[in-house]
Amino acid sequence: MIIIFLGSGCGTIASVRPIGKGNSSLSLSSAGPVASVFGIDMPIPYAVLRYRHGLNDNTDFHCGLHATMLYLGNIGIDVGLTKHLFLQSGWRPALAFEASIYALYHLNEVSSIRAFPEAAVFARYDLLGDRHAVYFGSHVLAQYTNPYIIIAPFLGFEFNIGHFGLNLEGKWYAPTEDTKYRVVDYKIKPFNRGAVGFAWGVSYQF
Amino acid sequence: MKPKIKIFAFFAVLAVLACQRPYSLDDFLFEPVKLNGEYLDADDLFHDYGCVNIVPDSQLQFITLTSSNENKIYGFFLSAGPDSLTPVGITILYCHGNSTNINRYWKRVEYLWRMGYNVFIFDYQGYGKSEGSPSGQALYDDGKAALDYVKSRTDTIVYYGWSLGSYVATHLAADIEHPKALILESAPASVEALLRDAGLVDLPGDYVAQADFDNVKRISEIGCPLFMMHGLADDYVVFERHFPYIWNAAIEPKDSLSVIGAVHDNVPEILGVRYDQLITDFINRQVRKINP
Repeated sequence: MIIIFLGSGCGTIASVRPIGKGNSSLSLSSAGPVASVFGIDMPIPYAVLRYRHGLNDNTDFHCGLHATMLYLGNIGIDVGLTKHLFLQSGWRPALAFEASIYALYHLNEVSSIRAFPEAAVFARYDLLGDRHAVYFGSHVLAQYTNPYIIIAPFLGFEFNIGHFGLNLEGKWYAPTEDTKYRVVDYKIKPFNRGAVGFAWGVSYQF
Repeated sequence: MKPKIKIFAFFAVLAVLACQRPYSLDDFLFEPVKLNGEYLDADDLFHDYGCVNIVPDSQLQFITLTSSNENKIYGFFLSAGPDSLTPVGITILYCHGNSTNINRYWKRVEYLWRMGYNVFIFDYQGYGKSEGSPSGQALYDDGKAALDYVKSRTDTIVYYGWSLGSYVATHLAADIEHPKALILESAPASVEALLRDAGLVDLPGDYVAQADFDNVKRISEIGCPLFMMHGLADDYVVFERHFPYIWNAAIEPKDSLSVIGAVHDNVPEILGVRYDQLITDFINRQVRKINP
């Protein structure tokens, strides 16, 4: 049996680089912890289609549509802002803060509406000039039931070619939670804590 | 087309798509195994489940039922023997778990039959030789067909639900007809609880599954005596994430046993002869009104 693992930062990739005032981008990403999906060990596919727009040179707006949720008959969206706090200087990495609201709704049932605030902090080092980057940070999602806080630290790489970008991330979902015995048998769970997964994303800037 | 109209059209299309619900995870709730050969084949029982059929043919009836969608489902009625120590017409309606088919559960129904009860076990649609495919509604319809059959033979009925079968048992008890008593073994709280167990995030079960499986909701609507058993070492339906929610919602009279060392599928075996005593005492006390 598999069940989607929404968790913190599930499905999305970090917006590590400011997009610039007036610019926009579209990205498609998929992420999830590694589990047996139809008999194959792979990241549970939780896909998000996201639009970003540069409000100014340091602040981006984003909104996303959670495609996997749609496939299951639910509306899932997220909206938020990314503030790029400062640029890389020597060994000090560039730093950014992201705040989002995830809103989910199962059609035909008003009481099913759920909203989760999520924040992320991430640091970035440019590679090979400023075209590519390595980055790391953590998502934090809050909810009204136990566990009240779900974190997901991650490490990622961004490759840019022309208007296109490719992101690859490794994430450790909910490392504070005991996942030794769960309905889903997560395949990578260091010390029986949380679940490790992977994310990929492609984006096009215009 | 104006931008606002485009946006409206985009979301309208999405809403229509979502209403269609192209996919749900219900299939992952069920693990049926179709049976090409016969039920209770001696080799299959022994090699697959270490079980030998000890019920004489004279006390065993193969039953064919028709579910509400006209699919044929199959079951067995085990009649308590003439030398039964509890010669009363108590029938246990056994709702089995999510895996394989009747063969896997034969050892379990034999435990109950040996205690002196009639037992009826049936395969849900898609399981064993039963036609169709499983779904939440199909399980409920099959349970109703099974109950109607048992009622035609006896009016003293105890529902027994193991794991997935607990959803069927509580549905019958809450929504169709109260039994004389209800026994739940290794029962999950709900699909929602399973979802939270897997994904940690608080989402209603409806988000991923159409099956209306919710023991916590239904148990509070059942007024008959309840006995719950659950293994403390259950690594699938983990005790502390399921049992307390059902137990706290259940109303009196109720009794329970948390079984040290038992996992999801071996509560009777870990208890041994105590299993017989517990079931017999519970039924004597709550159904036959005999104080042990």
